[in-house]
Amino acid sequence: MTALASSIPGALASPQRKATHHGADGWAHAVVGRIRRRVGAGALMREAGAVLERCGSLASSDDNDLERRAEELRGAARCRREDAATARESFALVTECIRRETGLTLHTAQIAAGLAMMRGSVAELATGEGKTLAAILPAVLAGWRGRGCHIVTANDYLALRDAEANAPIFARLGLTVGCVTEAMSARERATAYRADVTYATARELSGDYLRDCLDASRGVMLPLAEAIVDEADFVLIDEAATPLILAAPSVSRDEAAWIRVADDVARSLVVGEHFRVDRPRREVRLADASEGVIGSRMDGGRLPMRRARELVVAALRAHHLHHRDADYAVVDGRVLIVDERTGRISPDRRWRDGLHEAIEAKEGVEVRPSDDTLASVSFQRFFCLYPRLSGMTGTARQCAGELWNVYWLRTAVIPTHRPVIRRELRAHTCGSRDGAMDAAAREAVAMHRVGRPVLIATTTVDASEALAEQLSALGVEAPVLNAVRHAEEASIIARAGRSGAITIATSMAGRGTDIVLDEAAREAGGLHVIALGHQVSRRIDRQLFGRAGRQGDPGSARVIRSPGDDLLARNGAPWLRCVPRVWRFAMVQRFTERRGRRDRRSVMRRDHTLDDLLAFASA
Amino acid sequence: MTTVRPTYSSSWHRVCDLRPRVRAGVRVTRQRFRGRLWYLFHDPSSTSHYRMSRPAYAFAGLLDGRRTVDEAWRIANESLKDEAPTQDEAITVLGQMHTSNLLHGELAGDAELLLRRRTRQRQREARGYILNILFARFRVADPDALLDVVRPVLGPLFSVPGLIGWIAMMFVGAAIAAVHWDRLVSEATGLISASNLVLLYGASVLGKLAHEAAHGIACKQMQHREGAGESSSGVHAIGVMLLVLIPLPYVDASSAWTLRSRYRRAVVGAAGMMSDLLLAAVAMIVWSRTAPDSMVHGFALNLAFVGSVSSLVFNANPLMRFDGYYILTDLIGQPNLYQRSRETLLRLMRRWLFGMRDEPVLTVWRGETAGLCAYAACAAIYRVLILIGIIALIATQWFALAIPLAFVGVIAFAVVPVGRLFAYLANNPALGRHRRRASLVTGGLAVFILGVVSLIPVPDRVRAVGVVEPVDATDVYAESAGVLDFVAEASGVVAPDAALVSLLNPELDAEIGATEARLEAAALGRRRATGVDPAAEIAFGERERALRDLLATLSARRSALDIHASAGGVWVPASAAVVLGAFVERAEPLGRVVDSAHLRVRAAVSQRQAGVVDASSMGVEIRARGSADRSIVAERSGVQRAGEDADEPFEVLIGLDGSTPLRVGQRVSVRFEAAPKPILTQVVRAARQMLQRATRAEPARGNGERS
Repeated sequence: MTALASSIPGALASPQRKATHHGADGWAHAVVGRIRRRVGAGALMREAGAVLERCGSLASSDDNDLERRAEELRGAARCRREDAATARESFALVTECIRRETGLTLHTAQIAAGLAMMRGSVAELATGEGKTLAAILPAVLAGWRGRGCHIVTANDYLALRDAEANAPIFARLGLTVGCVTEAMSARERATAYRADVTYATARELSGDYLRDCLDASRGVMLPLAEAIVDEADFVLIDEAATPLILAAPSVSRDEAAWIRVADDVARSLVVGEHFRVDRPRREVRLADASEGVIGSRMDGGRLPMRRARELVVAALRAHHLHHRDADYAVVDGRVLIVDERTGRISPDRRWRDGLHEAIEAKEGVEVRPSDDTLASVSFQRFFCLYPRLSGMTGTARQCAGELWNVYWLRTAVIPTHRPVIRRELRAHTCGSRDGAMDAAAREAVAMHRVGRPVLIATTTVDASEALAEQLSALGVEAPVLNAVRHAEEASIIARAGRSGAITIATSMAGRGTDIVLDEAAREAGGLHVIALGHQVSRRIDRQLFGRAGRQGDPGSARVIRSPGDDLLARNGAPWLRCVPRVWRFAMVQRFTERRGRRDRRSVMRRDHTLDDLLAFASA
Repeated sequence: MTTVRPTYSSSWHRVCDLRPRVRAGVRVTRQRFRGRLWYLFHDPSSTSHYRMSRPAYAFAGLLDGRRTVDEAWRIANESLKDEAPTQDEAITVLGQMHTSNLLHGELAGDAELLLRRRTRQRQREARGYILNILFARFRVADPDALLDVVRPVLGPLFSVPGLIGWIAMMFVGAAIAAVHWDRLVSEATGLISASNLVLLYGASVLGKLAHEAAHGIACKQMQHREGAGESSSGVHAIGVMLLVLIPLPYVDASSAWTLRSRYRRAVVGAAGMMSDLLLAAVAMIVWSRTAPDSMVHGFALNLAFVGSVSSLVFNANPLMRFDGYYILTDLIGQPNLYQRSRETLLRLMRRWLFGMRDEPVLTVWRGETAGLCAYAACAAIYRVLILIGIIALIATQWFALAIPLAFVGVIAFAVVPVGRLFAYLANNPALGRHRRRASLVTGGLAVFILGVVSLIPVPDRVRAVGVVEPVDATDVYAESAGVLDFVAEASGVVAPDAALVSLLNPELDAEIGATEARLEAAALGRRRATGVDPAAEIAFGERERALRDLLATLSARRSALDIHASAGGVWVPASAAVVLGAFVERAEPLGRVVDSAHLRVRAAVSQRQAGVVDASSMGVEIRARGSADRSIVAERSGVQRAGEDADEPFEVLIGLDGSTPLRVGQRVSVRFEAAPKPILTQVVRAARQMLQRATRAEPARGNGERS
């Protein structure tokens, strides 16, 4: 085991992006950002129009001509000729190649997004406008420059799919494509990273980066050069503070027996008397009265009292703040985290500070020894290492400030290509949770009767299962897509667009899910999305709604909510009961988002101070 | 409830396998403060010190270059259990030791981070200079070798015999000052004048040089006494510091901190002031033995003033961070008293105002918290007052300089702390779940204070000096010239027709006699001519009538020599009518009879204050000078402008009713009270008036220079 810093190792050191500012500098930076972080979409659209025009004139040239042209432009890119005319020429060529390969002509919105990304901005492209193709434009330019380009996808499946689907396009332009997925060996990865364009998830990229840092002779990655991040808000903001950790089972810290004792103690403690629970902040605080109980049950060993208290607090958090099939699932005797934002299981993540072990003790499965960290890097820090960074997403507006403050990324909001005909219906507020569920079921059945496909989005695994039962009681079978039942994801989604289909899903069906409608469904009025309760952030709500009305299809969306919703129960402070119901939901969402922002900032600041303190402790 | 101190840290992997050791040459001193053991690390090659608690030392002391950080931490944990530093605390200790340059190891360090840290440190220093422009320091030389030479000669002065000698000198100096007190005071009034500035500055530099040298020598001597010998850290910096923009010498005697005995440390701290006072005593002797107006005499006076007054008023004051502060911290065993007291006060506020019950209490003794909080509050108020005082003093001389100074002051004492408070409330992770309450309490307090300041009216008053005068007074003049024969008793109440003054005029008497004689002659002549000579009869008749008229006039004049009061009142004789037998010209004022039942006060009010006076609907309070306890409430009766010039004051007349104990001519202080106004309104008015005066003064001075 070698000591290692999460800072830049010599081998992969690259010219640093501008550092994130703190204190008064950060404040000034944020103020400047209010003006600078926006990219005018008008100019981009005009430029995109010029590209399309130029593209039309290429239609007559034959493939050999295009190949020669590509070679010329590649030379220009290698020489860092990046003037507007060259860029226009290059984009036109790529657009033409895409057209010849797929038969699809990119529309102005996509080209404008590509231009924005080429200039290092985050492009907001409305859901369903074809981000995958838009990303090819800047990626080709980056590939031509010859330093590699990482296209960051949301998951392995997408990485593989996009790499395969787009390889012919890149090949036409003289570029090789690689793809890194979890199952790959180091050798395969090294090959993939040496391709001109590499598709991979943020997790794989940062993991390989860390492993290369730990072992200088491994050399899988080349120096980081450019990253184009799909779902930029999710990767760069939501996931920013989650550290990617390389860990090894701890040899020195085996406390499994104590963790079980702590679990027993936690079961015997009484809320209010021995401890208090602060739900919105996910905290448990011990009262003085607990001291005696803990002392009598956990004394007599070599365990210091301070550690005993920590273990009991972890156990109490496991019992009172984390619920099975909402926060985690137990699969094959293992406790697996269910990601709050994606609704998916994160198989290799473990909660920190003894929480994961405490939950294992609570569920009675094997308590695995806690891990020793070997190295860790947060996405926030990792993506700051790329000299060139850009991204795209369907929902950038709400986090434009943070993108600018942390990453110096500007945001370009690209107008939609076709008018959106999705209707967002008024939220329906019910008196209770059960009432909301009934209302959702009734509405789904009504839509089902007229032949429209329905997607019901719940906030937890529990709720999705309960709703499925309720619907089957009404005589409608609805497939369920959640963290536990994710095996048939592709087939469920493939069927979700059929006329009259009802699909129940957690937020899993949000980001990146493309529900293709059949003709009958389109005729009947398109997909109807029912959100049973708000998600933790407005962006996730928007992503869910975005499943309806894609690419000019009709569609509608409605929130059905109640004061008993998880969002309020888990994140709402008690005083919010005094707030009128209509405002309460939005307020809790805002508070939760703000808390997230604050947490991320404090993680960043802690990183920062620690770096200062440990400047000496780098490898 | 106990504080949350997680045992493990997710960053531990960054340090756990390092094998650092404390650098060779770093000296560790054990000290006992507030009943606890502390370990002071000192690096002789720099002037940095680092103090560490016992648990931290139990960990850091194990770093010998062979154990890994992780091993050292485990050993500390096994021996100290709950007391032991957590991983996060251990990382902090390591980082701070590294920052203080106390660690050695194969720590190449992240060059870029180190560089960035250095840049930031520079920036912080520069910011410190700007904010502390009043107290900046520049190092010039290393006086250690010189002090080594001087120390054996002067060092022994810091001993019991030396102290006795010093006390004797103090008595001598004080005795001379007492004997020549009046002369001293009269000469000392000239010290602040501009012509004396050079001498004063010279004396300050000399005094400060002796002061700093005394610190340095005392420091060396105490180190010698403590047996530190060759390895002692010595005194390595002498330089110039800017005290309120005035350059003065300083010596860095911070190595005194490594002295084990706190009394010895206190001696080092006190040495400067003792030298000042000794110099002052010597200067007193010289002053009393030299001729007035000689250069030596003047310089001695300056030296005595600088040595005694300034050192007692500024240096001995523990609220500023001068010698008095350091002596106090050593004597009560509270190093970093200033930071600690602030921290204690803030913690107390966080605990009680923000409800952060988890905040650990730092204090050990009973009453320590109260004492520290009181100190913090006093020091803060004192600093603000000193700043305001300095700015006000400078504003009277160089207004243009005072404005940037005031600007810096407002930034440093108002904008920066408020900004920090906002940042703290908005971002500080430690606030956590208390953020809402903290924000509410802070906001509530701010609103409360703002409300009190801007809404609750407080009396709006203006003071002026006035003179009591009567509304009605009869002036008494000498209607005819004469010699004073009788004057009624001064300030006595006189009845109508009572005799006030009588004059004697022998010439008038003689003239009346002569006229009477001529009148008789004329009457005789007329009688003789009756029936004989009608023409002569008519002529004599004419003459007789004329003389009779003259006589009547003269008699009237004589009767006017006895002056009576036309109305009752108080007789106030004029200065001319005091000495009996003095000659008084005709029409000369002799005094007045004053109507004591109707008095009024005539007061002068500057134009700046006139606004309040105009609005003084609440009435006027008058207080006789010298009798503080009796005040009279009266009505304002009229305001009149006194002159054309805008700077001239207004005259205000205030009527009094008859029952006042005031006397005519008495000086009174008058207080006008307008309708109560909020403090904010009053402060804004005062500030605007000040600015207006300042801007108006500028062109006026310009004219003066041109002419």
